[in-house]
Amino acid sequence: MATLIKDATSINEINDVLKLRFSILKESSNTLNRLFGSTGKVSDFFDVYPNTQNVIAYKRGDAVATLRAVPYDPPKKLGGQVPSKDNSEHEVLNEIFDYSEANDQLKGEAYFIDIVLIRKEQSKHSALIMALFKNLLNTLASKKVDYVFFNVTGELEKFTEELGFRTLGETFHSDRLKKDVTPSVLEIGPYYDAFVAEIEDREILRFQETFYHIVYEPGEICMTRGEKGTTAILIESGEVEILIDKDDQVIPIATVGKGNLIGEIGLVTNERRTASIMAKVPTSCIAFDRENFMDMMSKKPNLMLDMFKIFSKRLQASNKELAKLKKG
Amino acid sequence: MRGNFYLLFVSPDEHQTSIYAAKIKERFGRLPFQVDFAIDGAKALEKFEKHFHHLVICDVNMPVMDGPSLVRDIRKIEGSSVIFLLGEKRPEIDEDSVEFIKIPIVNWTEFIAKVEDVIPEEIKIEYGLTKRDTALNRRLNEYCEQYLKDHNIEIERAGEKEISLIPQYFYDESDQEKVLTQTASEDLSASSPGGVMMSPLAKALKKKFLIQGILEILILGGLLYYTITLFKGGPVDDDSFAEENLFINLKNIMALLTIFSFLGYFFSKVFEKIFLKKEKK
Repeated sequence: MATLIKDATSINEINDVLKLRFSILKESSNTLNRLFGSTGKVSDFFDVYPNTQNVIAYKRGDAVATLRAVPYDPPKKLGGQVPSKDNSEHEVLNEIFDYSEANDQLKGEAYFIDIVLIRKEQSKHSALIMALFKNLLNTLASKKVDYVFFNVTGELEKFTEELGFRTLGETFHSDRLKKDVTPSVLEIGPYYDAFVAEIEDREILRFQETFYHIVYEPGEICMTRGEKGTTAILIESGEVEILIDKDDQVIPIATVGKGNLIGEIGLVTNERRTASIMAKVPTSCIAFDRENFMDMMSKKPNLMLDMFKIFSKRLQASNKELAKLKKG
Repeated sequence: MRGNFYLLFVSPDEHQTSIYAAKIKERFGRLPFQVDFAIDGAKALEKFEKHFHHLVICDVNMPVMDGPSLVRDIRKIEGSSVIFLLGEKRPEIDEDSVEFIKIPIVNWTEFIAKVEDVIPEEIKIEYGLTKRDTALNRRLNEYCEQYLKDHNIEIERAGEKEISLIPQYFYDESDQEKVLTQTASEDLSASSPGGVMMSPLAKALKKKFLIQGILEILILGGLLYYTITLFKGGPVDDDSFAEENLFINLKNIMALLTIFSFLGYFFSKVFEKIFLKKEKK
């Protein structure tokens, strides 16, 4: 089943985020007392920071995973002890390792990834976890954030390594998390450059505000012929197969991989899908739908030019193919 | 933002409309439907101008403005909405995306299939709506299953545990999961992305503790004041009438009750703090 990953910016989405985090709390005032008594701050769970960036993953309409990044605030106290209550707001994870030294060397705006929650059913899906992180990092990149701090734990190490996080200090054991954590940093600039380099149609990046990620499982139908679809998908990783049904048979006609855009016509016109698409491997895509797209167009009409560029490239490509077929 | 599917019912017959709405809800209950109702053409246009509606279901025969004229007016605003005209006789209207449905509806499955056809596919996929049993869907399913078999692909199974970077003491020890549900309150409409956001729970709890705190102070203060004034009241008069005696005795009883309740309250708070502190560890 497709898992949808979106920035949680609307109230409904923030509520979904909070419900998901709260689903691990017992429904009792006792726990609430512990909640308030222990850190003295509700800010661990409630999104009271300005510029908090939440990302949430939905599967079949239910929230299944969330990440959060908050603007980095250097701790006022160092040391191996759990800091006292009047300390920095990030005492949940920022407890022993002091990032302020690193912060002095790296200039610019920093964020801190401090809440990660991925339900059991999704915790093995590497494509989903990568897509979650990428969504968060891309949004931070568009906000012109310079780097991100994160206390990485064992299960997430392979993902953060692939994304380009580098370690800042030695792994220490966190009593609060009951895990070993490794303080790490990622510079958003190089990460984003690498991300952009893999996209052929750069014009698409102009629509970044309307993006959301979708992760398809292998053998899943992403689009069906004859359906009304209003989203276009750009394949970020993985492969899909284009299928047509001819004479009661389903025939694959092409395989499309990373960097390609599919379904762009449905974005603009009311035409129904002309072919069906099936994902061959866990595929992570960037999607944008007509509602957001039209919204953006009305705000920035010169984006229409970018869309035309994409379409004319497509037309040129198919004309070339046609010419080849005619010759051969 | 998660996309919504906007549906507009236009009919003076509210009873019929509610039947259609109920049938639609039966099948599409989980989907993010935004349903609007309008009694006549004018109100329908008002609603339509506020927001684009994917599907408009309206009667052919309506007082003031009839179905076909409404269709014309809607088309002036927006060309891509699908319009279902419900009536007994097919009107002379030949337009794209306008479908005539004969009432009374006999075949509800067909009606629902027509509505389903209008819903954008991505909403159906997002919310996991089971696909209709059409020939194409069956063929595609077979193809996909065969593909997975041929390539020995197994869907990644669930992990053993949640991945979580939230402090352990927030977990329920008995491994049960109970959802603390809170619904969004109306006064949150002012929040903007990037601004300070307070969840409804946070607001409610903060208020609750504040009110509780104030009440506690008032009660304590009241109790103290009452106790002090009672004792300040002075010695009992010797030549008192029966009534006054009773009154003075009552005063003493009240004083005792006050002291005990004050002490009891004080000790319960102390107990709570000690008890909770132990639980923390």
